[in-house]
Amino acid sequence: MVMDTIRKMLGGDRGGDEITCMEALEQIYDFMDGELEAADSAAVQKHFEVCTACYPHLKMEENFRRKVQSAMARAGTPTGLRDRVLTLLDEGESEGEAPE
Amino acid sequence: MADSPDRRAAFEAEAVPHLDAVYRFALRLAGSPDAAEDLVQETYLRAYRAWEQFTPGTNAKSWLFTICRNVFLRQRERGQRHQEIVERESPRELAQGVGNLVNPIWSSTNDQDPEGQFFDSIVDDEVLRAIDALPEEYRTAVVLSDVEGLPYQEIAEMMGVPVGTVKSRLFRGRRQLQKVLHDFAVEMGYIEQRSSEVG
Ligand SMILES: [Zn+2]
Repeated sequence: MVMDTIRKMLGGDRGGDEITCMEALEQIYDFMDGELEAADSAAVQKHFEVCTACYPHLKMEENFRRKVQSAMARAGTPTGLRDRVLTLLDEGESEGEAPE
Repeated sequence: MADSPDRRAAFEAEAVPHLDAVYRFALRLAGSPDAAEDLVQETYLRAYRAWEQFTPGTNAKSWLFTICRNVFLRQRERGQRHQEIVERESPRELAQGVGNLVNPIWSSTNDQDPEGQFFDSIVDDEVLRAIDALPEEYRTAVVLSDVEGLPYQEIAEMMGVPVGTVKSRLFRGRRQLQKVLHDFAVEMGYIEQRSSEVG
């Protein structure tokens, strides 16, 4: 136990990348949003993989995000919008030719 | 003088492919398909006229989102007043205290649905309604991050706020949305209310 703590404090033996539950939860959105440096991201990921207390928390956030994404994906672009936009650009071009 | 075919071709190659994403975003801002289509058309017209201001190699999608939001905000200014959000811009404050770190939704469901599978049972329309009910600042941040996957820095530039403010808006927006969906799931009987505050 004491040796583990010392090893962690010294950051040796790859024990230095271990983080606490609080640190993992604090960074949960940074982690999910891909905003962490590779080493930090790996440390957070490792924590969620091995910590039974934090793991469901990550799953819940992931389920929530998936739901938001799938709900948003259902709203399809109206038929013909692309053509209407392109037509509008043509008109915009001819308007641009007219003097002020 | 007519616009060069090159200019038009570049715009069609770089901006027009993002039409679906811009429409998705516009629909959440404007609320109705008709208003969203108007917003998209105005966005593309302005973008085309300002095409020289676009920096090649940067994210055209972000640039279009910025124009789209600016058009929307200007229209809204002319229309009815909107509710200003009260922002305490300290991400530290958000992270302080374990009570804030542990999602209250999770505390309420951890003995019956620890991984939040109840979200799957909720119909899409209800989710969209909940998104639309968020203050615009939260809604925009959540949509751009969760759905469009934009980095904090790009969202910050788009919204003209520091990255810390984006993080705070995401935190609050997500928690608020989760609470609404959780309460809906309880109402529908997908999960039981087990709040420690109740007992
Ligand atoms: Zn943990």
